[in-house]
Amino acid sequence: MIQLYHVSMIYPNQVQALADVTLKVGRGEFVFLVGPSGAGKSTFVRLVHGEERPTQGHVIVDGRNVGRMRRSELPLLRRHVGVVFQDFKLLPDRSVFDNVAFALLVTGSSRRDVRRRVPALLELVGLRDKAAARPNELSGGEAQRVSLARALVNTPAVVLADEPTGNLDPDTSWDIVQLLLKVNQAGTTVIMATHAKNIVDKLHRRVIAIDGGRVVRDEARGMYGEALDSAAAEAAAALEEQAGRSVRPFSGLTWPGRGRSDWRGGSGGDLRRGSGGGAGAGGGRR
Amino acid sequence: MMRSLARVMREAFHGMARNGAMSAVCVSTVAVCLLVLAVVGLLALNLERTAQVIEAQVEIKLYLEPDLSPAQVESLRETLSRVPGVRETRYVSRDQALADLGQQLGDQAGLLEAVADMNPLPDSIDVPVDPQRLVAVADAAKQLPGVEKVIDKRQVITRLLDVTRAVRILGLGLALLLAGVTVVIVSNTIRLAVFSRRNEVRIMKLVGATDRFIRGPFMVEGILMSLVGACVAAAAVWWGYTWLLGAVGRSLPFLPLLGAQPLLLGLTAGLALMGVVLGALGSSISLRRFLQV
Repeated sequence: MIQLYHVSMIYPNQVQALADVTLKVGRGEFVFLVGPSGAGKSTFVRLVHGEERPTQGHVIVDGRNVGRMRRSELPLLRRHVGVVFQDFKLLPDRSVFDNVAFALLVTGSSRRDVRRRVPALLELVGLRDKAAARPNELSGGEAQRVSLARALVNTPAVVLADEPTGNLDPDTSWDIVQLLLKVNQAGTTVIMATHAKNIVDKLHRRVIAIDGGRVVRDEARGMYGEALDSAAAEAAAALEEQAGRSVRPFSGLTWPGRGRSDWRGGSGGDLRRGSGGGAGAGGGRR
Repeated sequence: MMRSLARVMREAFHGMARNGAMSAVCVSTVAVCLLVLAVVGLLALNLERTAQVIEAQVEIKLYLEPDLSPAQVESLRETLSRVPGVRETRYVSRDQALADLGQQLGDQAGLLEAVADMNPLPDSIDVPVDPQRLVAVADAAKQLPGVEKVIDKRQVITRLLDVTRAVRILGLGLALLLAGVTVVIVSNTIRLAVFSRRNEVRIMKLVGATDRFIRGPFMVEGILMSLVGACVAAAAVWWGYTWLLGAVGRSLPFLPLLGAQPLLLGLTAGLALMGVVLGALGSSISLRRFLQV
């Protein structure tokens, strides 16, 4: 699904954010990206949805080299990679409904689609009754759920969450993480960059630890810090069991609205048509 | 297509309403700039008109030898009218010339009674000419048979031409300068308006909007705002110039001002066109930087 080959990222101000990172995230995985501030987690997220291009190496998302995409192709990529931002990035002058609808409208969806799809997603994140509210009337947790609904509205193959709980209190954070798990169980790849040690340790999912721009640890069933001894591992296993129980109620999830489509086979064709020349849906080539 | 057009219009109006203060600043800036530009334009056009009127009055006078037959005078006029730069020829008999002089003297026409019986004036031909060719025409006329003397006042005319040229250059220069200033101020104002919404643009890009999708409403917004500004400016000019024509007509009727129409219609069309172009270009150029996400 997502592959990085020897990726280095040096910003114009000479800060080296990533150094020779090679990793792979498979379809349907749930991955925690951990590490101290400035380790390169956000850069990873930016590279995957084309906000930045790597200085060196290749970022491959679903078989397409993001670093080599034309500017006109990036919008199509972004519709298939949902991003949840730490600061929500909601349009302040539009209602919750319109914020979610916007991500759908940019794909050229009809207003009928919008009327069907947006309420379904607001239902999913539990904000059906806040549809008319403005972002500044929402709590942090609510705003983040709107951001998540917007990230999901185009049924993306991947959801990137860049410290989605960074501005939230622990309980609200846990709500957001449960929503992400729910989304993951429906088949979407989820990558969550986070500082939240308790969440990572509780869920016991794959953990990729980054420090100083390098991958220092990549464990299939990891903890936030390294598991030092068997006692810790046991404790972790116990926690995982607990966490597993708390997750289970969502396992019967059905995706709201239109059926889940694989973006490679379905609308993903647009992406390739755009690169093949001719009048791609992206248009506007210079 | 219709759907996206409807969306663009809807978003443009929402955008203006949501950024009311900024929109008001844009509209009034455009209005003031275009108003000043229009005033300078009118001034330049009227200066040009005045120069034209003055230049049309340039003529030379040919004094004829006495006792030319009417046929000789006719052939002389014929020859003259073929000289490049000659606009027309007007024969003035000596009796006519004396009568004209009497009129010019007005109250003192009585002075002429002394010479009425022995008119000292010769027959003459008045020749309005293209001022640029004044000297050539005068020199050519001097060579013609039957011409005794040519009065061309070339020194006065040359100075006059210098003045009208300076006036023209001044008018054109002012208009061009103002046009340049208008472009800079208006595009800067639009840039500010776009800048205040750069976060919005960035978020749109991050959720997968194409440049075109974002640009459409912004361009329509820019066009509409400039168009409103242009209309305000045009209305002010329309009212002001009509008033000026009335006032000048009463107190300074000899000033050769251009009539209201089709001048004001043309000016309005020009202002509207300039508004549309400035609005469209200004907003799409300003937006370009923020679309690089």
